[in-house]
Amino acid sequence: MIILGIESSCDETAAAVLADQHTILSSVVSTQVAVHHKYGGVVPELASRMHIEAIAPVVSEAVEQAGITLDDIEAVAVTRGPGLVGALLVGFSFAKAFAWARNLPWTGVNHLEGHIYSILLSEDPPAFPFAALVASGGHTNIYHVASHDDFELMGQTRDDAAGEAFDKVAKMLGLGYPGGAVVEKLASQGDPTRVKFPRTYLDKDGFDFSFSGLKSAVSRFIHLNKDNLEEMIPHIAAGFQAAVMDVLSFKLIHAAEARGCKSIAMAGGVSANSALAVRVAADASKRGIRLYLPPKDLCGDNAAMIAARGHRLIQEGNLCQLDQDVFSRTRFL
Amino acid sequence: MKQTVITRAGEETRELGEKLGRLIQGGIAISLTGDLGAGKTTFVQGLAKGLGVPDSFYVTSPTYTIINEYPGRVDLCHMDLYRLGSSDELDYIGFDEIVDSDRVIIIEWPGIIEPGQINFDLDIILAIDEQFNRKISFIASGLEAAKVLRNLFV
Repeated sequence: MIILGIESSCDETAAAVLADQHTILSSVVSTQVAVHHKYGGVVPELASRMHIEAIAPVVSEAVEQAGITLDDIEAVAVTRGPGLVGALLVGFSFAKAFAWARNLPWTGVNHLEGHIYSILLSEDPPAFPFAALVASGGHTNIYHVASHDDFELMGQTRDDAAGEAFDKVAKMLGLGYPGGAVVEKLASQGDPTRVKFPRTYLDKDGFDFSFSGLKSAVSRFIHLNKDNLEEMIPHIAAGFQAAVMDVLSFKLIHAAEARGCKSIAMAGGVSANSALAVRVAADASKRGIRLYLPPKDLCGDNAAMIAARGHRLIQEGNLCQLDQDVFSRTRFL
Repeated sequence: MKQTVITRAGEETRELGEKLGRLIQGGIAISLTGDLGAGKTTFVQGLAKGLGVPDSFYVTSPTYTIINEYPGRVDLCHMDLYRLGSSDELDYIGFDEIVDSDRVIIIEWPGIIEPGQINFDLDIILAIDEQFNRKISFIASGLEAAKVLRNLFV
């Protein structure tokens, strides 16, 4: 079943074509393609949220790159939530109209379940059950994934998301915004033991996260060390990253052990951080647990993962109807 | 009308937010200004509690999501415009519809909003002093907000 996937929950407008649940024919993300040229290519933050301008060219590009025509598409999957309602509506309405006009089955996908499916799109996916961390600028969630359709939300952040903490620390250090990737690069040049920042575990038996205390501690350290800040920046970045890694690694492995899983996985933008992947893989292997990651280009928001999850839902008969709507937030998955 | 108070810990900031939330009886627009790490999310966590948002809803930073909505005695809409480039972008997030709704709307980084797009009833400013205490200022416009503010500091 050739399926078209569409994603527009936050900043990216994305479309992808999958030949089945695992075979990606194309995956197009607006900020990575020439769609920007229309706007001069200089205002990515602005253009990125112009889903309504980007949606048709992005879908066309995905169909073209897949080497198919519109007539070959047999089903449509689209992100239904959580996300920004105004952004979600663009992709959702487009998918709804496209499917209705062509009389195709279509379904709405939970964005976070999509991220979990990005792990299943790797060449060497984990077997069920596994514990998965979905960490990005907007989310830091741990799931127990028992089967293709059984996701238990075990914990989530109570304030800032992990990716957001990276970006905000970059901003405080004068490294621009968003600067999570810059922090990772600088951290590799610093000594992670030079500045010791607090690790917030909350309840050590629980799986919730809190990163706002760490952010405040970095802010305070910067205020108190204004005189030699320049030379301290790599050490601050390294100390901060070490604090985040300690907590993420501990909670993810703890979650796997609490549910008797021998596999863990990470997805979302933060899982592209190679230092984190190396660290978590090392911690896990000491306990006989193996870490799995999505293909690197599917860590951030994309439509291939939405199509993969949608493919499964449609196969199971979980279709959407014309009167269904998007949702901004869910308490539970 | 302006009032200022010092809080010495995150918990005090949260309690102040909660007290404000308990005094609010209907739709109100609030601007929330302060540097990264000043305690804006902490303040809104307290506000949500005072507005009767159930504990099962975690009040998290809206920096990425831009809009976080919560049900309560009065519904709460928490926004962060930090990542928006200009007032044009407000159209893309449906800003006008949000402003028209009868909820508590609290907006972080409101700088890009053009005059006339929203009238804030209450401006709250969080500043960090040399001892890392938080100096929190409240400026009320209009009778309703002034009444809330008077009750906050009785």
